Amino acid sequence: MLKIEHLTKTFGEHKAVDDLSLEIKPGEIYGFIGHNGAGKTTTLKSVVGILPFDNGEIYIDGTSIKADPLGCKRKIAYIPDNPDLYDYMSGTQYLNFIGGIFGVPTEELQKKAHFYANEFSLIADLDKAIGSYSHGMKQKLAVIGALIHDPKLIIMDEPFVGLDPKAAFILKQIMREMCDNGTAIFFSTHVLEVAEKLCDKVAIIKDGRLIKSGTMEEVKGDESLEEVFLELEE
Amino acid sequence: MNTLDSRARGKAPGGGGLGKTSGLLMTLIKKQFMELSTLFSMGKRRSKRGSAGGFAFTLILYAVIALSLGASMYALSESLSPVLLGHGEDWKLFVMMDILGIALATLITMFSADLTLFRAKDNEILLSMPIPSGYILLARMAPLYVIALMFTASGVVPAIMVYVNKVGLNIGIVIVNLIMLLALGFLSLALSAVLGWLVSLVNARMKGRGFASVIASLVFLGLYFFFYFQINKFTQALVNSSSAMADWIHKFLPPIYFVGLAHTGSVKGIILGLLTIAVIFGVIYFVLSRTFRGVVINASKTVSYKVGNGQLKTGSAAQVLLKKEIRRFTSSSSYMMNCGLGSIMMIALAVAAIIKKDMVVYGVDIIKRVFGSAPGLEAGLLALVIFLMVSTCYYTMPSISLEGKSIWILQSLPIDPMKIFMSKIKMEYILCVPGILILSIAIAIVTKMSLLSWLAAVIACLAYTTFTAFFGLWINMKRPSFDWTNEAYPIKQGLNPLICLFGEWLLTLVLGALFFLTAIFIPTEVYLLLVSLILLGVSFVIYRWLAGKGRQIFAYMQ
Repeated sequence: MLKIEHLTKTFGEHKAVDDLSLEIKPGEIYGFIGHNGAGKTTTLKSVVGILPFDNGEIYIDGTSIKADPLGCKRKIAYIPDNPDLYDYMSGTQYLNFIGGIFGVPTEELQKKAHFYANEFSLIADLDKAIGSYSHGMKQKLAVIGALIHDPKLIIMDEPFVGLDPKAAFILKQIMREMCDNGTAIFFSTHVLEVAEKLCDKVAIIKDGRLIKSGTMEEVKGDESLEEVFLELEE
Repeated sequence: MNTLDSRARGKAPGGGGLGKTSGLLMTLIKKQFMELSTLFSMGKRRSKRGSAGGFAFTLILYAVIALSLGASMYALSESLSPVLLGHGEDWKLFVMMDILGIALATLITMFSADLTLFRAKDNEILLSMPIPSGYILLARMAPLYVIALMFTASGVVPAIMVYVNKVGLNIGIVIVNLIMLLALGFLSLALSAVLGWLVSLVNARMKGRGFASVIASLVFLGLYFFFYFQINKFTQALVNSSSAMADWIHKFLPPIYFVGLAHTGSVKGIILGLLTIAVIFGVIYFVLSRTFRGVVINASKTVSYKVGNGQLKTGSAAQVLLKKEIRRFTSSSSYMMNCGLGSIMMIALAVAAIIKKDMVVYGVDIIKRVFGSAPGLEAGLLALVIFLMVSTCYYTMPSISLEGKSIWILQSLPIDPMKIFMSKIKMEYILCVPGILILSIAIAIVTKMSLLSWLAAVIACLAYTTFTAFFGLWINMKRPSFDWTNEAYPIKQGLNPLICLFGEWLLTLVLGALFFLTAIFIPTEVYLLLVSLILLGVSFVIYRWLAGKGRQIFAYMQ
C-alpha cells in the first residue's frame, strides 16, 4: 500500500531524511519511532504530498505521489501532530467540507459521522465552532474527518497526543478494526508502549536514517521496545 | 556566560538586566516590529535586501498618502488662516487642525486597534510569562503609534507651516510644535485604543463576534463621511462664529485651549497642553492595562455557540470550497471591513445617486463641457468610479495567507489547486458583482444612459473585477505569509495590500487619463471594450501562471 524508496530530504545543509526505504502492506499497522527532530514528520509529510523531497520515490498503492498526487491523496487520510482546523467552521461544517471533497454521499456521511462522533463522545459538540474546541476535541474531529471517506492508507503524526484515555483506547480499537478490513496505517509516536502493543511492524529512525525496521518480534526480540530504542539511540 | 547562567543571576541574555523594565519593554517592542518586518520579507526572497526594499517601498507609499492628505489639509489651513489666525488667538487654527488630524489618525488606526492590541494570537503566551500586562499593551501600541503619528501629522504639520509662514521661521516654535506633534500622536493612539477596547468588550459578549466590529466601524465611518461632506458648512459656521466658538472652548474646554495655545509657543500652553495629553493618555493606558488580561482572555475564548443548522450534508467539491470561503469572510470583521467596504460603498453610491439625481447630472454636464460631449461619456465615468470601488474589494489578495496554519488541510486533500483558486475568485465576484449591477443601473437611469453604453460599462467592470481577483491572488501566491499572529497583518499591513490597492488605483488613473485623452477620437463603448479585452488578456496570463507554476507552488507552500 505504501512503498518508500531511498527517500532523501534536505533543508539547506541539513539532511532531515537520508536514503529511507520501507514498505507497508494492506492491513498493517506500522509504527514510526525516533527522537525529536529525527525526521519522522518530514517523512510523513512527504508521503502525503505536502512536502517536496530531493531524491527517492514514494508509491501509494503502486502510484507515484510525484506522478499523480491527486490520485494518491484520494486514497490517503492524514492527521498532523497539531490539528489546526478551520476555527470559523463548526464540527458539522468541517465534516461536510471533507465529505464534499471526497464525494462521500450524504447518507453515508451522516451514518459514519454519527457513528464516530458517538464513539468519541463528540456528538453534542459537532454544532459548536471549532475555535471553541480543546486540543483533544480538535484531534478527535480530525480523526473523524480522516475516517469518514474510507481511506486505504492512514498517515498519523502523534495521534494520541491530546486525547483523553477513553478516546485513545477507542482510537486504538478503530485502528485495529480498520486494519482488519485492509486499511494500512503508518503513524509516528513517542509512546513506545502503545507502539509495542498496537503495531505489526515498527521502524526506528535516527538523524534521518532508518536504523532498524521489521516485525515487532524482529525489532525487539526478547527485550522491550523501550530498551531496544534506547540502545539504538546511544 | 551562557544564557541560562545569566538568567539564573537575574540578568537578561545579551547583557541587559532582566530586572530592568526598560530592557523587557524594549524586547517586547522589538518583537512587535520584527513581526511587521517579516511582512516585508515574505515569499521566496527572505533576504535582508528584499526586506529593506519592501520596507522602503512601503514608506514611500505611506509618504505619498500622507503628502496627498497633507496637501489638502494645507489648502484648508490656508483658507482658514485669515479667520482663525490673528487677534492674539492663533491657537484656534491649531485646535481645528489638531482635531482633524486626530480624527483622521483615529479613523485609520481604530480598525487595527482591536485586532492588534487585544486579539493577537500570542497574547496568551505572553500573559503566561512574568511580564506585566501594561508592558504587553505598550509594546503592542508601538507600531500603532507610528501610523497614528503619521496621520496626525497630515493635519497638524500643514497648520504649523501656515503659522510659520505668517509669524516667520522661529526655531523655538518649530521645536515646540514637533514636541506637540509627538504628543498629539499619543492622543490619537489613546483614542484609537479606547475604540478598539470598546469593540473587544462588545465582541466578547456577542455570539456573532466580528459583526460588532463591523457595525462600530461602519458607524464611525458614516460619522466621518457625514462630517467630511459637511465640512464646507462647518467651515462657514466657524468663520461666522469663530470668536464665539473660541470663547466657548476657552471657557468650557480649557484642556483643548491649552493644547492649541501650546503650538504658539506659550509656556503656560506648553506645560498645561502637554499635561492634558499626558493625563488623557495616562488615564486611558491605566484603564486599558488594568483590564487588558480580562479583555484578552474574553477575546480569545470563543463562545461555545451553535453554528449552522447542524445538518450533515455534502455538496460538490466546488460548492464546499465556495462555502468555506464565504464562512472565512463572514467570520472576520477585519476581512469584511477591509475587503467588503467597496461593495457597501457601491450600493450607498447608487442610493445617493438616486437621491441626489440633479447633482449627478450636473457633475456629468460639467465634465462634458470640459472634455467635449463625446457620446456615452457617462459610461466611461461610471466604469472609472466602479474600478476605484472594486479595487478596495481585494478579497483574493490575503486569501492564501489567511489559510494560515490550516493550509495543510487543502494541501493534503485530493483537490486540484485550481479549484481552490477559482473558489477564491468566485468569492470576489460575489462581493463585487451585486454592487456593480446596482450602481450601474442607478447611474444609467439617472443619466439616461443608452443600453449599449451601459452594457459596455458593465462588461468593463466585470473584466476589471476579473483582473483584480487574479492580480490579488497572484500577489499573494508570490508573497505568502502563514506565520502571522494577527490576521490584520495579511489583510491590511505590509507590502501586499499596498501593491494591490495602489497598483490598481494607479491603473485606474492611467485608464482614466487615456479615456479623457482619446474621448474625442474613440467612442466610449469601443474604448471600454478595448480595456475589457486588455484586462481579460492579463487575467488569462495570470490564469495560465496559476494553472502551471501556481499549482506547484501551492502544493508545497508553508
